[in-house]
Amino acid sequence: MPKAPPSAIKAKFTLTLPEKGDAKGDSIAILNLTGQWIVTRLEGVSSRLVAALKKHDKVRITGEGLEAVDTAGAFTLRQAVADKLDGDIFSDNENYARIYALVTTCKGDVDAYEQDNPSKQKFWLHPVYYVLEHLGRIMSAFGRGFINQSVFMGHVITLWMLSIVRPSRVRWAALFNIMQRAGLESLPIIFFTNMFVGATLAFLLVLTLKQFGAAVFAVDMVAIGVLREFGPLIAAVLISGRSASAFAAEIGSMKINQEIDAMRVMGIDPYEALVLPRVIALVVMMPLITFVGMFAGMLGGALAIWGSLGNGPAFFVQRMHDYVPAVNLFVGMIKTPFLAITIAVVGCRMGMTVKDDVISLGRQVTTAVVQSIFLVFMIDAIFAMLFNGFVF
Amino acid sequence: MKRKNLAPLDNESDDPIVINGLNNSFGTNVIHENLDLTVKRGQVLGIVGGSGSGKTVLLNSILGLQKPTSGDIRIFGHKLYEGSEERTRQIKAKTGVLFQSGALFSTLSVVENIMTPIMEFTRLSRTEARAIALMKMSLAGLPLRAAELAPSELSGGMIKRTALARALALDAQLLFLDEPTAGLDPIGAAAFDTLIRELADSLDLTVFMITHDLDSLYAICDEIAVLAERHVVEKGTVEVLEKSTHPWIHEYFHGPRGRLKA
Repeated sequence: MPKAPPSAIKAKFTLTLPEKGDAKGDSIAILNLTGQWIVTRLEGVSSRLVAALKKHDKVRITGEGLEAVDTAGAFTLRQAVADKLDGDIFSDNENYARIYALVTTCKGDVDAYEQDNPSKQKFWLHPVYYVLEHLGRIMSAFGRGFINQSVFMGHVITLWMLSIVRPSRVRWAALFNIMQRAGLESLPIIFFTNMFVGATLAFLLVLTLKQFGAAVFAVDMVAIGVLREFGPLIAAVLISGRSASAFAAEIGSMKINQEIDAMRVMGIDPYEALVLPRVIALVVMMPLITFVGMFAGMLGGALAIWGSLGNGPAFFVQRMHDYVPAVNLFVGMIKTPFLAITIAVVGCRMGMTVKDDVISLGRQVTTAVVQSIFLVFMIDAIFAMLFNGFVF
Repeated sequence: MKRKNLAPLDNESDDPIVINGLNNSFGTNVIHENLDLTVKRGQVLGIVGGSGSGKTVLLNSILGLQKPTSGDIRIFGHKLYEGSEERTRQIKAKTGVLFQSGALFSTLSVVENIMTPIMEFTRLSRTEARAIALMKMSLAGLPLRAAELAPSELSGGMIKRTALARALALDAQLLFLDEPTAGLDPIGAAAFDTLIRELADSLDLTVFMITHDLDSLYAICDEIAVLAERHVVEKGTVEVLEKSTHPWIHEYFHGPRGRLKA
């Protein structure tokens, strides 16, 4: 049997006026529906139908040319016709009549809802309003964030104190696990990054200082720079990217999976089980990582100077010994625990504030990385100012 | 970018689901062997079977989520995994799925969830699509004040109803339900059963339903197919299956939780 090609006829209608109006003088229109009144064919018909029916008080509907009707089509018709219907509808097709009756029962609900929830006035399109509203939102979010951060910090500090009094309450297994994952396993990347930065720094310094015949001072500057700033900073930034995101994602997905709730119900404090080990692990590991980083930075610097000046490592070590006091190492090391706390706390807090949905998890992980890197630089700047006078 | 309007699917009069000689196996673990099943138009078919009997694998095979090892699956007379992308989209527009957990998009509100297929397959404006989505909510028995809620704020019954409204957003002819009443209280489950039956009758739906709920089987299924021993061992009305001598089916209807106590 040759089948007719699939008709792709849109929902269409024609409107005709009968020869004479009814006794009361209402204008009656006859609406003839043709084509397919199904959801994929309804494009634009709704507004045209409403406009066409505006002028008429009563509508009589005929549907001889109809090929298909679904609930969306019937609903569009029902919305446009409203209470202007005259006579029966689809009396010749039981299927269509049933669908029409079904959507009629829904129409009341939808109308009531739209009456209660009128579409919003688009105030926000106004630029001044928009800016003010956003400013207000940002400020209130900042205020809330500050309070929440303080509460979180208070909780962590309390637990820290308690864990000193009762070391048995510390989750040692988790602690060592995190020390390995966040600390030891990050050593290669920290080593090589620092080495590259140290070498680049040395090349630049040699290049510049050569003009003054003072190229050997590159050694002092590389050593001081790496010890005071680059070592701690690069380690902290890398750990932020590596561990702050991991902490936020781990804790956040546990939160989504209701694991945190399960812990609370069992009487396990999630701060004690999840947050504290992470904070302690980073605080312990950070100085060690930084130390390796400093070593790598100076190794890179020494190699670069060896290559460009021809003075070998022995020269580098000798000059460092003579002209770079140990106070630089102290200045660099003293800030690492603070950076570690910042990274761990931001990561864990972002994880704990994840809501139930996936988007919020992604947003919190991003925020954790961005915020912790920002705070790392800020704290580093504060320390640089504090130790301004600590030169020799 | 708006997509081209979707042409209607031809051969719509064929049986919605025809499965011939379906084989599925994971390594040496054979799930289905020579499985045949036909679902007739307008029929509500319940699928029962023990845990691990391959109900979900069968559903995934029919939905095209999992390519069967071999065998022939036809939806509305069209072979699955063959034919153009356009054809696949036409079939997708004709079928709706209610996943066991609802599988609502967690970042969209209820009404936006229901609007998703409408916006994807038609060129209606957002306002029009929204009005249709609200109508579907009302059809599915959802209170419309829930329209702007996020899925995470809904109760179990409301999640199921939202998922049903989304499955029916394009007036699908073929509806797949995976354990529709699981996790609902008996009253909510009964109401959901009634809703499915009513919608199936008034919208002339073909329903393929995986369920464990005996009450659902009795309340809404025209026929029941029993999956065991890697194929459909028996298919028939509840009355026929109650008298079956197959040990699993007998246990199912006459066991401690069955309706018919020996």
